[in-house]
Amino acid sequence: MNVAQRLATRRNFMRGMLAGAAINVALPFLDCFLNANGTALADGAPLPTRFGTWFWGCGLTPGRWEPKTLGANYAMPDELPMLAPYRDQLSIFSGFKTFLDGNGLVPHVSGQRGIMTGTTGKENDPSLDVLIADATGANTRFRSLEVSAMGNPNNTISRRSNSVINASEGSPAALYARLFGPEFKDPNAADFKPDLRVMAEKSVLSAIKEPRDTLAGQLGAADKSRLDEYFTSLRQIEQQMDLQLQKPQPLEACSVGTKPVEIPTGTEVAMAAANHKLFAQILAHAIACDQTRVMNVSFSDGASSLRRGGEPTTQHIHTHEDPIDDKLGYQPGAAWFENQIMLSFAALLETLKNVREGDGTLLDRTVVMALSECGYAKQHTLESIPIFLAGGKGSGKIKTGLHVKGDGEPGTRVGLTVQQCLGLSVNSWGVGSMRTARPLTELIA
Amino acid sequence: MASKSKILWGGIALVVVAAAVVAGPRLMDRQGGNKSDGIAATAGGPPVLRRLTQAQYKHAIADIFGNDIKIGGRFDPDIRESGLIEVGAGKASVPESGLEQYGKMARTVAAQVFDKQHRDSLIDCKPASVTAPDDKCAAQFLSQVGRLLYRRLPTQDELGPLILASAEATKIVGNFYAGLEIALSSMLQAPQFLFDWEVPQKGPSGKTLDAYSKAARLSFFLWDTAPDDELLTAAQHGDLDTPKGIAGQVDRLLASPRLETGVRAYFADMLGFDGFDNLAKDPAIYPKYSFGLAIDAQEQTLRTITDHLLTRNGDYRDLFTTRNSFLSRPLGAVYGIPVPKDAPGATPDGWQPYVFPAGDPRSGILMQISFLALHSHPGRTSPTLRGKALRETILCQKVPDPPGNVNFNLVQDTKNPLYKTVRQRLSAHATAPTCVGCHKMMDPIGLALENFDSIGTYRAGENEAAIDASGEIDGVKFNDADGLGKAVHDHPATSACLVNRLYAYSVGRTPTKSETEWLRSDLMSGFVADGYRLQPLMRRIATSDVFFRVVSPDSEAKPVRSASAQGVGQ
Amino acid sequence: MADIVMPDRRWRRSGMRSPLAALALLAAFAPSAMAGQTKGFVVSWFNQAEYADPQNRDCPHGVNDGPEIYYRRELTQSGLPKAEVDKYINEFLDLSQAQKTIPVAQMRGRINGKPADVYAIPTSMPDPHLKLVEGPMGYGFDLDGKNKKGDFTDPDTGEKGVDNQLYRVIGCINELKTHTLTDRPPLQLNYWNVLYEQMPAWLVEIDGMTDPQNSPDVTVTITRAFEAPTKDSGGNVETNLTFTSDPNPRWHNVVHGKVKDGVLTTDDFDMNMLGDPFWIQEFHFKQARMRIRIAPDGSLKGYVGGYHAWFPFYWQYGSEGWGVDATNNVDLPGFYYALKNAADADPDPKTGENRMISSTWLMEAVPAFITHPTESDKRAELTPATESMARGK
Repeated sequence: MNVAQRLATRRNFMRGMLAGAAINVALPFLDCFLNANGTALADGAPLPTRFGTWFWGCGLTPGRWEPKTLGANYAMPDELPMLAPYRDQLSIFSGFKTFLDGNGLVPHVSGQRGIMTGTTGKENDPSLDVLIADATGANTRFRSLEVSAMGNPNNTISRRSNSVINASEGSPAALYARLFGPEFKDPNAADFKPDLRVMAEKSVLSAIKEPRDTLAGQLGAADKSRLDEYFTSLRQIEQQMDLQLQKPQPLEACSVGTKPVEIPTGTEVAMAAANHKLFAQILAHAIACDQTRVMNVSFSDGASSLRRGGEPTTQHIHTHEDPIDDKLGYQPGAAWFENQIMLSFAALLETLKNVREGDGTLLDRTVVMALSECGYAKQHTLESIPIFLAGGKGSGKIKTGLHVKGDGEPGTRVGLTVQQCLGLSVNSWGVGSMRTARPLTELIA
Repeated sequence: MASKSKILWGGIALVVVAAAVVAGPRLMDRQGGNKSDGIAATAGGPPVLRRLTQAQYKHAIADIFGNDIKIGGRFDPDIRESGLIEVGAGKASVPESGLEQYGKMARTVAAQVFDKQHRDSLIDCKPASVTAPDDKCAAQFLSQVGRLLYRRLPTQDELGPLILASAEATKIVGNFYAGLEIALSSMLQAPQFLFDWEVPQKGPSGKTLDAYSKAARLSFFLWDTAPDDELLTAAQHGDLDTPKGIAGQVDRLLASPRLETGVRAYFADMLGFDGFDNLAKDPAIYPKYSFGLAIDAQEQTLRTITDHLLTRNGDYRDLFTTRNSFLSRPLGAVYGIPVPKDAPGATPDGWQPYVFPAGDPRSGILMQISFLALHSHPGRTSPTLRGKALRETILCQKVPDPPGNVNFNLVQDTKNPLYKTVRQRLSAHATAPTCVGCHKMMDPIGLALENFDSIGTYRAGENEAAIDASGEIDGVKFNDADGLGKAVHDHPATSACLVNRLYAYSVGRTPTKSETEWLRSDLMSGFVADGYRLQPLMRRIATSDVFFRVVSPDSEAKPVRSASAQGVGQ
Repeated sequence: MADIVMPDRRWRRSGMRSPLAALALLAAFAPSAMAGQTKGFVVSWFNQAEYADPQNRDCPHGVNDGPEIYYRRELTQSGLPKAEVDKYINEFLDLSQAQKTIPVAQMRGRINGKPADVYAIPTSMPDPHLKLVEGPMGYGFDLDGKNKKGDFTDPDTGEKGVDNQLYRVIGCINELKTHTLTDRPPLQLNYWNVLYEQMPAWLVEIDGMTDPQNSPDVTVTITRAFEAPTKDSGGNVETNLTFTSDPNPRWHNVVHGKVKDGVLTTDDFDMNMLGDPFWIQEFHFKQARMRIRIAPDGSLKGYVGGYHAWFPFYWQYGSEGWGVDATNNVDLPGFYYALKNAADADPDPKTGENRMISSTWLMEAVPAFITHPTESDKRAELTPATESMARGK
């Protein structure tokens, strides 16, 4: 067959496809398009991997949250016993810092901003979750969901730029209404629209295969086999696109849950914990129904205004003013809050673990990056800011359950690793001293 | 002398690459002789299929679509082979994950080319209707951009399916520009763009590269980017089929300020600066080290090199003894040198020229942070790594890898009261017969640099013991780092290595046997005659008949095995 | 080309090329090598020197109250009915509502029975009499040459008659006091961390030091830099960076001193330095003097004492108003009265009220290169004194 003949055949085939697209392509047609035998959908279409951030203010107590050993099977540190059930999918990152490169410290902000955006203060770059949402959440109804357990819309660490901040939802009931109100479309319902752009890209991509034989004819044996590798890769990319054009597998874990009852919000730890629990359940339903693949939870604000019920002193003031207890060797008042906060983090993980999905749980396919904004709140230090990665064990994309020490290196190494594990196209991230091209290879699956 | 020889040294065979053992006197006899018998015997080597390096990809996109186009994107790691990424590029392929990333970058680039800000300036024609295909306009755009991306005129076989597919995409998404954007994005993923594709042709005196391949080889060599419009036009008009036409284009490329980009790319490759991406230092010991400092350190060395070799047209060997350099404020804090903002020659970008005064322990690029820090451990120096790096990157010699099961406890314990200095620890470690041979090749070189710690700060002593910086390289003894610099300057392998490696870089593969003969005779003597100057050497390579001569890809002319830069334990 | 002042470092870069010479220097610091050399430093910490008494004699009646207590007391005093006070305090304690209560706190003063702004006019409220430091020990100097009743004794030198009334005022306010002998006062640390890497650095030069242990005749020069200090990867001030000394004579302080047993002391001098609007805009010390230890690693740590106008110390926090008064436990009107009452120098000829207060400051500095611009750079004096900076707190 000469070139002209091949083109003609191809043109007819594409015409047929277009006719289908014009009338809102129906599943049988796509099956035909994608699979010459007209067999059923391919098994093994991967369930999506989700990403979440979980932020709290005022850090943890240095010396009490870092495991004593590196790598897997670390002994649970003093401050984190509640996370013991999740150790096999909880990675702890100690010794990672934020550099400011001469830009001023904004207390209780700079630390997380460096780790979340890879910037040293001035720059305009988006936060990690936005990068991931842009790359993975394009087809979901919500690019990402932000919530504040304290009910404060300003408590958020997600931003598209310096001036475009993704504000948090403060009310679980309102979040539920947004998600599962009248606009909610059951993903398990029958109709499915393939992405026309992917369809177009796939057809054009195959055009670069046309001159293959001519090209290969000019090469020696070794280079010819390298070209073959290239075309094998191209075929695999086309198969990826095929999957995108198929109706996804039913989301067996998807259900809408029950509408939560409004409860009081405020700065009391107990209130924040109760609201956080409701949010966690709604978010679990939201990701199980693939309404979003990215969530951002702010448990508290950076200069934490959490307080014990009936007491006026905030966690923030406690961290600055509490004397260090001679016997304990740390600030017991501040440590009480840290314990409460970690209990809520454990509650989120439990909620995700309780939802079965496929052969695992939601937690297995969700990578949650928890972080704070300082190493030692008493002094606003940016050294060794606590960072955790929880979940994702069943995603096949990331290794879990390790303690990794940063030795004063930029916290962007964690973010770069997460981006690469989740398949983002990035080989370095961050600016100035926050720049890194070194993912934490021990985490890459 | 044989192209490859073995020197027995402490029971270990030191494999020395051909160019490195070229003897001085014999070369001198042949100085200036561009003898034709040398060329006639030189059949050239096989054409290469080089995957664009990260830098070349970025340069090409910037040149074709503009500096403001963002790439984002993760590249598959470049491969280093025989001491060069540019040679590794001839072995690199594109796995699925790599192509996926190229796809993402392609979509990012294409989206910007077609955004409001760029579309009208980058696309000459306008479609009859924005919502319908316009094959004429699409063909015009795709052939124009295809010529730049594929570095040759796209064939009908290449262009036809793309125009057709673009029209189909336009119908699917309902927009001409969106359809064309998808077509561009697919061109950016095509092997003709991702690989530097060399095509042989029959010439009057044997096989050579075709004109477009010549253009690409010249441009990647001298500018580290795809050929510009003028070079492609020269190829199209047959100018590159004559020595005169080639010389004209080579002189144009050499005269351009963009030559500096090419020279920087070569030395960054040769010196292994990509290693900085994976370099870490212990902040408890070296709080002054950060990624920002690493960038300045590389910049200092590249500025020293381009200033010396291009601006001053200096002798290549003097790079190892020169006291001229450049400083930034953060570098000054490591070197312990003031960097006043009103110093003569200071520029607003924070850099200023600096001459290390006579008597200062520092001279030459080996005593700059870039070399000292890159070849050290995170928390301590390594004379072994430094010696190995010098042998492999500067002298083109291969040092064997260490044996397995080596106990490093002794060298790693920097607080051992019995062994206060690195010299003492190393000599206690490297006593085993299996170790001593190799260590002898590396340690006496690296020990001369012991006055510079793991990030290059000067130190007189270690653990309150004075440092003995004396050493020896291939029979030449010296008392300190300054002496090492002079010994490297005078070592015959230093200049021979540059000739060999620069040629390997220019053709993207190790030289073949017949080329090696030509390199060490004609080209080397030319380099000597030119006073060891870089630009004339680049011109000699680029205008030589050998440069474009090729043999059949699967012929017997296999490249000579050369030094590779693999990790070594200590 | 500028004159260059070298940092103080044990190991000189040059002249050390033979192992023997290096050994000689390692064995003992060679005084002759330093003759005629000026040592440069960049200030890495400057804040009030406070003594957290290990025997707890500093604040025998405890520290001052928190805002929920003084707001309740002062609002009641202002004549607000109890129900309104209760409502206010409840709202204040619920931090999500607290912003609403700002006007009430701010306007808790009364002038002719009408609400008045207590931050702008602290005297619109009666003196709440803050608890002051009562302990016997305090860092500093006997500035007035008299050992008066209540004067402190310096814990390091044993010097009696130490005048440090600023410590007396701040030493029992929870966020302004140090809690151990080595920690930093919380609020001051907060301000310093924000300013850090933004405020042009302060520079110290010591000229004529023939021996870091004993030099009878040195000159100390304190100036301001054009550049701000930076932090290194370990989070400390970067050493051996180059700074350009601002030739502006307003911030050019020169004083004679001597070094004995590694401690530098100076004569009295007037010290004028540009601070920052976010902190203290300008410092103007009278009868200042220094006592600084030169550490083996080449860094400086010690004290600067002197009289200073007290009002800027109020206004540093008073200008911020509610933020400090409600969240940092500084009852601002009380702070105003305490400073005013504790002031101990420079009486106003008309009212007789003292306008200055004795104070001691902890100063730390690390080695730096200092360059002095040439004549052609004198135009630098015309550079605006301070850059405007956006910052949080």
